[in-house]
Amino acid sequence: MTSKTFHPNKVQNANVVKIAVQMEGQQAQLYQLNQTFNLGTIIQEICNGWSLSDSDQYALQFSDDNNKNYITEKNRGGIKNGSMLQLAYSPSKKADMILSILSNESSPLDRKIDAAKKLSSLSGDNTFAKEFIIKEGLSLITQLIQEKKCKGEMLAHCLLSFVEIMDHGIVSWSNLELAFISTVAEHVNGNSSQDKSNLLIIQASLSILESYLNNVGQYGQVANHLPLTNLVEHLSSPSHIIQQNAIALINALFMKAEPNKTEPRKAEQDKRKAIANTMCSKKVRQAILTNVLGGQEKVGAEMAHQLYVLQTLTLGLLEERMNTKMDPSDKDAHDKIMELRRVAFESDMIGVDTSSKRQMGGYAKDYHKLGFKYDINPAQDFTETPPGMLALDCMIYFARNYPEAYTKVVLENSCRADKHECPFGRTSVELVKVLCDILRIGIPPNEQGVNYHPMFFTHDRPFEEFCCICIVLLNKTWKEMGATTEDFVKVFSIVREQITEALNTHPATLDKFRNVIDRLTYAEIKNRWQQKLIIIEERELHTKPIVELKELITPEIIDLIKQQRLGYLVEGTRFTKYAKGLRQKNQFTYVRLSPNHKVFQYDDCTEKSTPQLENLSNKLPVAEIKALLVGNECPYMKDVKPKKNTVQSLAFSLSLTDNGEMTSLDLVAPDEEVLAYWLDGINALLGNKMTSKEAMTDLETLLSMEIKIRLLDAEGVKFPNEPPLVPEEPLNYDFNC
Amino acid sequence: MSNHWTPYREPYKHGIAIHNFTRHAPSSPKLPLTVGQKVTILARSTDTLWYYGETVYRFGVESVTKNPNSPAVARRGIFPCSYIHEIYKSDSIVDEITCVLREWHVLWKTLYLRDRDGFNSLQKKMFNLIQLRRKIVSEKLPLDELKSVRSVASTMMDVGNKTLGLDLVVRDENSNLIKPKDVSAPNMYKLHAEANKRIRVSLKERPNSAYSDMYTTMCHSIGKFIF
Repeated sequence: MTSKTFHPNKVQNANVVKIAVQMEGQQAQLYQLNQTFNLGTIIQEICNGWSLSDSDQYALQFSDDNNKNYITEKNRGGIKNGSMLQLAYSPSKKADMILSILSNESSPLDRKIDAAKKLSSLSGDNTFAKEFIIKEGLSLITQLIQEKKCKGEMLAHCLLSFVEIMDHGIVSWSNLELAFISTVAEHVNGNSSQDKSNLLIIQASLSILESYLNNVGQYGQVANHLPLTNLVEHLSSPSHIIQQNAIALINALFMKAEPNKTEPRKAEQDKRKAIANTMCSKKVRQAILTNVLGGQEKVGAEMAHQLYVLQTLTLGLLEERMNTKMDPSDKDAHDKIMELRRVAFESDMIGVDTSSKRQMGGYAKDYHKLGFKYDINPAQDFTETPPGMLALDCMIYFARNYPEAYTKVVLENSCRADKHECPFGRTSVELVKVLCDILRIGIPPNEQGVNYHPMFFTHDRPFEEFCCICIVLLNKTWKEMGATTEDFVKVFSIVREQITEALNTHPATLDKFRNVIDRLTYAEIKNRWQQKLIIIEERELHTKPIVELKELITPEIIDLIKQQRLGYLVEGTRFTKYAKGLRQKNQFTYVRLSPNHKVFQYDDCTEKSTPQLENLSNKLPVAEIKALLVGNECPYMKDVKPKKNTVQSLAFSLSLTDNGEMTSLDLVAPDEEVLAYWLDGINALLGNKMTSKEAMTDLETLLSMEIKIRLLDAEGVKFPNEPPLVPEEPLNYDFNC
Repeated sequence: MSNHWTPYREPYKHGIAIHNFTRHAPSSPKLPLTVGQKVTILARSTDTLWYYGETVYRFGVESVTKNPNSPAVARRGIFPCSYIHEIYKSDSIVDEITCVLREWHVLWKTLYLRDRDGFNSLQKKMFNLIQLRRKIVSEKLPLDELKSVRSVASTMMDVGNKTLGLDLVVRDENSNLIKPKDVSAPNMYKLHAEANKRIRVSLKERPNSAYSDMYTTMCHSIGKFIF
């Protein structure tokens, strides 16, 4: 009855949140806010509380640390019981106030600065931004910036406000005039003052240029006003955000340097190359390494993303070579192949005339030793794309820069004649292909990527250097595996894993990468595989179908354990006799269970005798046993002093009554295992559960082996957790087979 | 009415049950399957929803705890295609190891009843053999290493069988152990002869086996250890 009367109240309560409202210069008021009321009504009520007229000039704001937004009909759901809200001038009123100061040229500078500051702090609020834009505020700001009517702190806040307002995506970037962009670009050019406002100006300007490029701008529109060298200066800025925005802008330029209809593809490539060359120059790499990566602060997610994009774009330049087939008429490429041969086989006979050999296929033997697939014409080895010409580039880089390592690799393998040689040519081509795949060369950066490799900033030819390390690794692994040419695929699956694992440690330098990968031997990888399999197997044991299977088999296994225990009892045990907890010298009882499991038979025996069933004259029919008593439950153990508790814990009695007043057999097991076996056996006979630790261990052992054996054929098959759908039954059962 | 079923021809495809398909009514045409169980697929319904087939190994019925006279569980029946992961023919030594492991498993359970030490030592051997089998199945080993793993596995099986006193056992084409009561005497003789031949062939395949003479001198006692 009472619940009925309270019910309507509760519904009402659900819509009411109890909050506090504060306002500058006023005492805070408590207020019960009804979420079904219109916001205007609520604000009026609150205004009344402070006797404020013109309630339409006010609005409510959240006042959490991370959320000071205006409350609108859309986000009012965020008001919770106990919230603290702020009553302030409405967005429209505030926009008017700010605009009136900023648009009036005769306003004093400090008031203008104040207004700009207020503007930049409010611009993140969507509601305010909308009002401000409607009142032509954005145009005013744009004009102030473009016409250079403000500088210093005021400029900084105007720029920041511009960034924030544009961020709401209400106004299109295409409305901007080029003059505006060029003015903004000027802020970035040759501006290295570290004054606080100036840093903010640079930060905001970089951000504006980047957004402009990413949204509507064309490469030239920014690049023409902002030489890359000037931009690169900012990588050494003390401000982390400026570094980040500079890289982001470079990335945007990089991406905009893409084909358009008026420019030939070549020009676009050159532009990109020019950017890449600048970015790979020692000076810039050093700036990135020391200021960005080596700085005090940890690299944040946004910075990591920008570095990832930069790296992806730089490495992406290899795509062209990677997808270029060798042109049979490419003399330069033929020369490179010849050079590979010469470095390997003629290093110690420089000047020897080899022109006599220069006939078609004259070098076939050497090319065979170099491990090319097509030893008559190795050019064909580079017709597969990827890796195309990139493979040749890497091989010649290796031969030229590491001639010793190169000749060692080639000669070591060309001298073997046991099919275990690692063919340098073929494997290198394949390796470059794998590396392109691992580094995702040719795939444009994605929005979420944060995976960059610091070591690639340490060299101007990072890919080629990386490749050289991997060629040596490949040879080492090939040897460790004792591989033959037929194992090609298997070796590569190991090598791929070695490289991926080593990259995952994000080594800071190429040397560190080499060290990591040296330790990742074939044996180590195999070891890891095994560990992984164990983990997978362990996880699999807990999947639904396996748990179900275990439940299915368990009764059968318990049956087996029962059989074993009963068998043990049939075999019988020789028990030492005890009296009052003391061992009776040379007095023993032998107890056996009859083979039909119906009767216990027992009798005295000597230390060494194992009497047969027919010699055990005392009988205790299983059916007469009413209870099994263990440890100090046994009546004959009750008087024993606690210090004898080892004897006590091994004692058990078969009782003919439920309360144990009349026991028939009082025994003390020689050890815990025998005790467990007897207790399990007797419990099984009495139809009780076997509860000993030993029974649990046996169950676990038998069950896990049973599962292993049953799943032998399913190696590598994944089991879904939920059962698949069972379709409707078939129309007939005429199988015809 | 057109036939609803498309029969498959030899060689039959095999599959693995990815979930338990059990608890059917006693007279149901559905084949009870437990997860991981291997099946031979004999036909498929034209709507590709059902398979008709048989289980390759029988679990449970052969277990030492069951009364051998209890009725055999149905071996043929229908099961949903969605429950089956199709598999391809594996390396012959893998099948041999699987077969030996199943055989040892049965024996292992009888050892549990009467010989703890034998039970423990066989368990160790089984774990080792499972490890080796896994290595071979992984298909990640280079040829030379694979060869040596295979040879270790064969030796382990031969030595294991010898120490366990296992005789030649007769199997059907699916490596199932054959019970004498299921087969007529002439057929048994034929199967035995085939089994001998198979072993001789497999011995030729791995001449390194140190126990090659053991098969030739082996007399066979059918199902000595099986029930």
